[in-house]
Amino acid sequence: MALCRLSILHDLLYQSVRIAFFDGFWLTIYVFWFPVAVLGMVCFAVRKWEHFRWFAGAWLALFYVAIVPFLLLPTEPPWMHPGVMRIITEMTGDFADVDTNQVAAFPSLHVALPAMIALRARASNLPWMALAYGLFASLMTFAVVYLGEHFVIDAIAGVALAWVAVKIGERAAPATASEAADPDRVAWPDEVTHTPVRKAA
Amino acid sequence: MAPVVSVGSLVFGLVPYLYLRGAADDAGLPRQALVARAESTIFGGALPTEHFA
Repeated sequence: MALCRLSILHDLLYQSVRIAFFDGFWLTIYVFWFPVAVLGMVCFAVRKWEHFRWFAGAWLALFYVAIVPFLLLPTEPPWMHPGVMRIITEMTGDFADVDTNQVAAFPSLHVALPAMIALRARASNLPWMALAYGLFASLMTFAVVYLGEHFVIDAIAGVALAWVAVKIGERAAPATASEAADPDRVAWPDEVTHTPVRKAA
Repeated sequence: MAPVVSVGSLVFGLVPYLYLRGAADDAGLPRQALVARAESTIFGGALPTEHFA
């Protein structure tokens, strides 16, 4: 298991004397997670407004469902472990202390949010957006692990949370029969569609 | 107009989340059930649990 030790990543890549481009890149990825997500939301609204209610449901579900593990399973992030460096603190000082809950590490919302956007975009037939946000989620996974903010298992749980959130978003506002027939939409395998009931004359 | 209002609402709709996130840490239960992942592997080990007083 020694090969998996986080400190090996830091020994190989981190230069404590100066802020290398490498560290700045990953810090930028980490810090801009929310602006990039809001940009994705705007793009989605412009391109697929007719599907936006599913995006909105998934967005809210992602954050509010995450409260449950934060309450019931608070977990230490890697940087809390003695001997593990918190690179963000090394680079930005007290900036990292603005978080209201330092033990809300499982799952990683930094990974979950772009993963949710990628999954939602894929289900709404926006392949380039899905690819872009999938790539961003992958970069974010390395960023959070390298920076000492999350373990890999937190990132995996984040992707699982994203999947659940997208499902909740669709279930909260089921597709009508005509929407389900929309060729621009990729239905879930077990999707339940809503058929409007006509009132008797 | 509707997309602008919707995007703004979703962003500001996270204000209660920020409160709840902090409240989850203050609830008392969390610190007692804190999962201390002492193994500093990038995978997080087997999530060994330690109970803090």
